[in-house]
Amino acid sequence: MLLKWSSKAHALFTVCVTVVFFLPLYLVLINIFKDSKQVMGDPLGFPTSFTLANIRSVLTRPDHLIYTSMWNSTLITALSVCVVIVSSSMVAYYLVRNDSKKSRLLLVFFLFGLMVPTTIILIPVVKVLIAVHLMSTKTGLIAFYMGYYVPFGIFMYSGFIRTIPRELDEAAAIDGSSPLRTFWRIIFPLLGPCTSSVIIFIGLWVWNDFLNPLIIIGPIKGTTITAGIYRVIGQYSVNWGEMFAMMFLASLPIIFLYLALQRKFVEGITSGSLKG
Amino acid sequence: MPNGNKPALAVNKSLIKGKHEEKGSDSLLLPSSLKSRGVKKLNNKTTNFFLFVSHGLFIYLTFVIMPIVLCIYYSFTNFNPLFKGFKVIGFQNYADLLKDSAFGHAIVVTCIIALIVTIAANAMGLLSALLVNYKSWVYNASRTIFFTPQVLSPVVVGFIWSIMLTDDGVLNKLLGYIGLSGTSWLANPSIVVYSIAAVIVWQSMGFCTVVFLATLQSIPSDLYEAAKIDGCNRRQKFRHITYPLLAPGITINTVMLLISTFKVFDHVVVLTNGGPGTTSETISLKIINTAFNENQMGYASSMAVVLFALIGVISIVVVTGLKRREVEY
Amino acid sequence: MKKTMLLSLVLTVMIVVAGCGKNSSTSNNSPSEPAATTSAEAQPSSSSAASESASSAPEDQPAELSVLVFESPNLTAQFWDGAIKRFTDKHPNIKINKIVSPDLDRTKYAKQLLASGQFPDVLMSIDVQDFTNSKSLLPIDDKYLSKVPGAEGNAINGKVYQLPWGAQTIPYIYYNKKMFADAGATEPKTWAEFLDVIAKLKKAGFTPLLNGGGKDTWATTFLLDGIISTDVFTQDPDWVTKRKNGEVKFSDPLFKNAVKKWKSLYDSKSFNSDGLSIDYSLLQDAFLKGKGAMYPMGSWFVAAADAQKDIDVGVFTVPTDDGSIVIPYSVGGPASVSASTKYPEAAQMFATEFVTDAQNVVEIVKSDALIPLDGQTVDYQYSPLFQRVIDLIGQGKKVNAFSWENGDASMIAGMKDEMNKTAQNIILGKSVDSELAALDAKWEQTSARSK
Repeated sequence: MLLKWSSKAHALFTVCVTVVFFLPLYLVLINIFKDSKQVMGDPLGFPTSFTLANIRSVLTRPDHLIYTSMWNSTLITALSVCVVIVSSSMVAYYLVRNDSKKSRLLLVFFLFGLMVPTTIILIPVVKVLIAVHLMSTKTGLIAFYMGYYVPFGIFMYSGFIRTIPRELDEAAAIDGSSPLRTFWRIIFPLLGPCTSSVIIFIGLWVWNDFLNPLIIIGPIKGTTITAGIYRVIGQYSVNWGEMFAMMFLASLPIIFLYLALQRKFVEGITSGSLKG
Repeated sequence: MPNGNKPALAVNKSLIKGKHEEKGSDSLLLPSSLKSRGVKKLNNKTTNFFLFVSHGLFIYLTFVIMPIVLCIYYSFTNFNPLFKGFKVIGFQNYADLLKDSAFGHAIVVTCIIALIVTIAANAMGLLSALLVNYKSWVYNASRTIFFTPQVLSPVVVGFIWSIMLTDDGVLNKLLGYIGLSGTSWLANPSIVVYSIAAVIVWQSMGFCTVVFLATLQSIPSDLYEAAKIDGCNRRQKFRHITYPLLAPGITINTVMLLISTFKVFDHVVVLTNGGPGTTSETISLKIINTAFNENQMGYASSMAVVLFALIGVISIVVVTGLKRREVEY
Repeated sequence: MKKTMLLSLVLTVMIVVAGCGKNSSTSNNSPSEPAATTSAEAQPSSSSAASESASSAPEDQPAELSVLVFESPNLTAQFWDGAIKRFTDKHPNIKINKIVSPDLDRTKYAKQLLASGQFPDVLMSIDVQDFTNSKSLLPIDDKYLSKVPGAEGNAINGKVYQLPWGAQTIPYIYYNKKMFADAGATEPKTWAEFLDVIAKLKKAGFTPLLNGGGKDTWATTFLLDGIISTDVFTQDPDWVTKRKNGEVKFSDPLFKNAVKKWKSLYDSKSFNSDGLSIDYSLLQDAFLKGKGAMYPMGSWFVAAADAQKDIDVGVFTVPTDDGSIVIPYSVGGPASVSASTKYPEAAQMFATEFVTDAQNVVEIVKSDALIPLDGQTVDYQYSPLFQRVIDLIGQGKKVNAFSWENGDASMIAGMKDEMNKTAQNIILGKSVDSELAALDAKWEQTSARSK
């Protein structure tokens, strides 16, 4: 009996903590549907007159910011994740399977890239991108992401590939399969859990990235969603309702994915970091 | 996964792993039957290297290694796109850095944020993990909510909190309801840094929770059973079993948080943009402002080199220090 | 099948990589090439070629221009879009891409774009002097200058980099009439009367003065700019020129006393306490919502004051020690052209037509309360507040508005930003002496580099 009471108290306490923690997100959700008078006067209460005006005004901006930047973000994230996966899994496979002093050094050389923050290399990266005429293009940003996140991909894949028995490759090779074919037909499908970790990590980083798209894509050829909301937010600083609507819409895809694939998210992130 | 950071202890671990790896033969992509044909093997090896490694290596060299080299080179010049031409000026930038009190201040601010975030997020993450390490829909929901800020962009989080923290913002209104008077959370020079740290803790706590939950669940249950037989109470169990075995989780969280907060930029730019004045300017913000707003690229590069050295030293120290604590089981 | 697909994929990757490789190796050899200066030398020939073709053919050459604009509560997206549309309707061959600065500090953003090799073709209302060292801006051709009245007024070394279209007074002090009445205060003329008004307002429970800043550092210094304009520039109208020649310094008593006068208002807690955390929009909002009695601001505030009905706004000039009326006056305009533009003719044409288009001028007078220059006739019915702002100009002595000067009278590159930072540091309690000494050091350093 006492045990039951204490477990109930525990649950109640957990709920309280969670509610406090959730407060900022609650604010966003609740204030989207209020008119600006009520947002300022009573930010915490439920909407007295439910309105969609905030969302509508953000969606009908004359510059179509939400649509174009959402599309750009999706495109950039998807392509960056793809090229990083293709490239880093191949590099990791080669380096793990050709175990020699040289390849171990090369692996360490790649993993050194994990330590480099973007702020440090952004100035020269801009110079490099100008030189190859990729500045202010999506291609330039994707190429940069590929170079920057390949070390992370290699780090994840190299740990995982070690757990896959060599006999598989050897059997395939005896059957006359080329190394490339062996890798893509036999090994890569086995890397599924690792691949999903990589997708989640790099997908989140790229989608939420702010500084690089702000500087690299620039203002002329569209923008990503994070850089986009940063650019226009000045217009909303006195209109919280619309500002929250903007935040909500910008985060909607990622929140939706997170809630749908919650287990995969948490597994991917923990397995990724615990293995490290 | 505090945003944009990567597990830096990777370098260390894989080195260790590499040593344990059994010595393989030279070209494992080839079946042993082909190994006798020396010429073909050599050809294959170069082709394979080209097919498998060249793309990754090339793009990595172009966008990470070459920029680092360029950054070091720029740090010895007075490069500034607002002036014509530039020249090598030796260690002048570094000498200026030593005298630049604003940069010293930025280092201090960054260290304070890093320290608070690392300790607070770890502690709160552990407490919340212990709180929700049970099976029920209540705890599942809590876990989901704790982790949600983690998937949001720091820009979004920053904007949400900037509204909470302004003078007539939500937090002060809430404090007003319970009869307390708040302060200018983002304008009071003696508080603003802690406000920023608190926002980052709010966002990164969920990550720690998840990591600790995974570590807690990986502790073998027979250890607890043995402790039960020995007559340990709950506190003793925590102190002698749970806590020591949480070490890997602490290592991961600490390294991730330290490295991500040492380059903290997005939160600060959105919350205060370094203000009031330069009170909350972090190293990364100072680098980007100096480079892209004041256009002193050479000087900013020297700051970048210093930041890089700092991150390198800290990750090595922390990883070796925390690794020593970990217990094998 | 799959194998060939894979192979072709790998091949394309390799081709792309190889292509990049060639380019990046050239970039590798000459990392020292500053991106911004290259096209400056190539300019004259291409511009003359383009002008020839422009004069021979009545049709415009097809061109695509990127134009940096900024959106403020007064100058909304509709204003810029309308102006751009009027131009493109007249010149269908020219395509205009609007770039919007993320905040009102478009000079900062222009610098960022310059640093990242994305300098726009036409730039609106930037601080020209910051871009003269790198020769990033194109001197406007005489044939365009002749179409703009008063264009030569803002020349730097005889060259015009920015086309003007009106004047602003920066700042006047706007005040809440009801609060003044409640506190029994009247418009002050002398500094002593001003302090008296502040005391009365405080007694009545109002916040006497409002200031802002936060992310918009430039919004911090309006009153300081006013005090320096009235105290320093009346004594020494050529102060900036003398500073350039090293004859005067920021740390000289004349300048320092002006700063200390301003600082004393902070010491006496006459400002709102959250000034450094609210941005420009919130600052304006605070005044219009009645959170403070006095609001030092540029004349563009008139438009916002007239657009609301919450408070009754009055205006007076920055009080002086002897009570004389001094008008910090700034003639400026929007349009500058990049020296590296691919279409110098189209860009200059756009700049010229933008500042001379009758409807643009009416709209800027209406929505940003721009004060028309002599020789400009604008068909517009001024509001009483606007009329008062214009009338005050006639009653006082005009001086340059400090840190808002244009042309040869402007400070050297980057000093405006330094001044804003200095002001915030002083508000935060750093010593006036050391901050002004640092400002002098910064000036010397920059000017040495520019030679």
